Amino acid sequence: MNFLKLFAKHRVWFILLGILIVTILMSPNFLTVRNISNVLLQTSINGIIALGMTFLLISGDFDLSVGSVMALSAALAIGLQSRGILTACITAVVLGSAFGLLNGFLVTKAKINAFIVTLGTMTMVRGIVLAYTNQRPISGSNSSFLNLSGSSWLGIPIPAFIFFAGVIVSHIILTYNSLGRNCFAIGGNREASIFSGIRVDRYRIIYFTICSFTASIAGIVLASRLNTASPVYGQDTALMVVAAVLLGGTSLAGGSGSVIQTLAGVMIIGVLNNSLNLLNVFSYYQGLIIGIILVVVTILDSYYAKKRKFEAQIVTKRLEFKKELNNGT
Amino acid sequence: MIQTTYQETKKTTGLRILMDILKRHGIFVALIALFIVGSLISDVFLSPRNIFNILRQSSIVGIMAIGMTFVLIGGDIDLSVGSTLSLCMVLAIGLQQQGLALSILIVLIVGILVGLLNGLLVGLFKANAFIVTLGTMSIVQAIALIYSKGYHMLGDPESAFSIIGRGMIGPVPIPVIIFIAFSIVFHIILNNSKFGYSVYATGGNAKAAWASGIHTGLTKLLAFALTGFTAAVGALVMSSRLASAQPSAGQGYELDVIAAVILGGTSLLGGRGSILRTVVGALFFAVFSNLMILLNVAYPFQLVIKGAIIICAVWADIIGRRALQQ
Repeated sequence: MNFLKLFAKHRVWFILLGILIVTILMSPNFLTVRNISNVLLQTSINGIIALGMTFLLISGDFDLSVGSVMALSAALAIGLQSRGILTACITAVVLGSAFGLLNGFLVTKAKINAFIVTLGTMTMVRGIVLAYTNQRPISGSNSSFLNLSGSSWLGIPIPAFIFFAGVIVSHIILTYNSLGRNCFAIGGNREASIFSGIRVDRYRIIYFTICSFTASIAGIVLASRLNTASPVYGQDTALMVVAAVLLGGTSLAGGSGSVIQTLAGVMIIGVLNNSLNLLNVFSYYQGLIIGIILVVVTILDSYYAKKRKFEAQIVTKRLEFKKELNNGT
Repeated sequence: MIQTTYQETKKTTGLRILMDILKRHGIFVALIALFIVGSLISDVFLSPRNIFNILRQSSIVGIMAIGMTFVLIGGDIDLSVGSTLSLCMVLAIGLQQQGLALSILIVLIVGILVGLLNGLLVGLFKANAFIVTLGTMSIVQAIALIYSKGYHMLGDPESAFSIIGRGMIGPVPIPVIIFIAFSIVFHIILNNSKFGYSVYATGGNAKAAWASGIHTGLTKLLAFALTGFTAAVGALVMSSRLASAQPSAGQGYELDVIAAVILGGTSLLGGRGSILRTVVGALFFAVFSNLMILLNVAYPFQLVIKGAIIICAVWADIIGRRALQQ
C-alpha cells in the first residue's frame, strides 16, 4: 500500500527508471560516457525551455511561441556575432524576453486568451526570423562561439550544466521564494490570489517573461552547437516542451507541479529518443512510440487525478461524520 | 421606471445601431472592410475569377474548421487534424488503384476512426484534450510517414477523383460547393438538433449538462468523430486538387483551422460559437492571404501581419463584448 502511494507520487521517476533499465538491457552502447553526454546535450535545449514553461503552466498560462523565440534568439546570436559574442548573446536574450513581456501584457491587460496571443506572437516572431535571415540558414564567423556547447567538464557538456543549474535555481525559487509561491497561488485560484493581495497581473507578466527568457537561452545554446542558425529551428519545440512538462505531472489546469518532476519528464523524452536511435528504430516509428506514450501517460494522469479527488471526498466526508458524532455526544 | 427605459430604447439612433452591430459582429465588419480595401488597392481583386479563387482557397481550412467548431464549443481542442489531413491525403492517393468509391470510403472511415480515438480518450477516459490530441497528432503523423515511406506520392490527375478538387459546376468550383453544403448542413445540426444542444450544454457547463441528462462523454466522442470526418473530407479535396500527397502536407494546419474558428468568435472555453462565424473566420484568412499575394508582400512579412491580425481581431472582439455587457 505504502509502496503504491510512493509509486503514484513519484511515478515519473519510476517510468524513467523503467525506460532506463530496458534501454540498458537492450543496447550496450547506451551506458557509454559519450552517449550519456550526448543525451544530456540533446535534452538540455528543450529542458531549459521546459523550466520556464513549468512556471507558466503552474500559474495556469501557456506559451506556444517558445519555438519561434528560440529561433529568433539563435538567429540574433549568430547574425550579430561581428559585434562581439557577448553583445550578440545579450541582444538575443533581451529581444527574446521582450516578446515574453509582450505576451504577458496582451494576456493580462488586454485579457486575450493565452493560446491566441502566443499563437499570434509565434507567427509574428517566425516572420521576423525569416525576414532577418533572408529565409536561409546563417552561420557565424567567430568559431570560439562553438565552445559554448562543444566543450565539457567532467564529461558533462556545458549546456547540461546550464540546464542543471537552471533546475536548481528554479526549484529554489518555486519552493522558497514568493515569486515561485505566488505561481502556485495564481494557478490554484486566481480570484483568491487577487483578494489576498497578490499583484496577479504583474506576476503573470513576469512568468511569461521568464518563459521567453529560457527560450532565448536555449536559442543561444542551439546556435552554438553548429555556429549556425536556421530560420526553421523550433517548429515543434512548443509541443515537445509542453509534453515534457506535463509528463512530469504539472497540471495543464495550473496550481500544481514541480521543476524536479519536469526534469524527469524532459529526461524521459530525451532517453526515449536516444534509445530508439540506438535500437535502430526508423525515425517514423519514434513519433508513433512517443505519441503512444504521451497518450498512455495522460490517461494515467487523469485516472490518478480522479482517484485523488475521490479520496479527498472520502476524507472530507469522514471529517464531517466525526464532527457530527462529536456534536451529538 | 418602465417609462424611462422605454424612452431610452426609443432614443436609439442610427449611430448606436451601427456601434451595436460593430460590437456584436466585429469579424463581419472586418471582413467587409478587408473587401473594400482589396477592391480599392487591386483591380483584379473583385473579378469573379479571383473571388472564386479565394473561396476555393478557403474551402479546405473552412471544411475542417466546421468540425473543429463543434469540438471547441464542446470545450475541447483537437490538435490532430493536421496529421489526420496528411494521413487521409496519402491514403486517398495511395488507394487510387483500388477504385474510386472504395478509396473515398476508406479515407472517410480512417478520418472518423482517428476522431473516434480522440473522442474515446477525451470523452470516456477523461484525458486532457490538448495533450492527448498532441499524442494522437504524433501517432497519426507517424502512420502517414510509415504508409508513404516518407515519399511524395503522385496520383493520376486524369482520373475521376480529380473532379472533387478541380471540377466546376457552372462557374462554381466543387470544393466551394462542398464547403457551402457542409456549412448549411452542420449549421442546421448545431442549431436544431439534440446533438447540437448537447454540444453547447457540455461546453457551457459539463456538470450541469450531465445532471440534466446529457451524456457529455458521448457528446464529446461524436464531436471529435465529426472533426475527424471533416478533416478526411478536407484531405479528399486537397489531394484531388493537387493529384498528389505529401506525408507532411498537414503540418501546421491545426493552428490555421483553430485560428479560423477562434477568429469567428468561438470561445476556447467552450459553450459559445457558431458555424456561420467560423465560415467568416475562414474567409477572412483566405481574403487576407489573397490580398497579400496581390500586393506582392514577402512571405515573412505576411506572417508578421497575420500574427498581428489574429491578436487584434480577438482583442477587438473582447473589447466589443465588454462594451456590450456594460
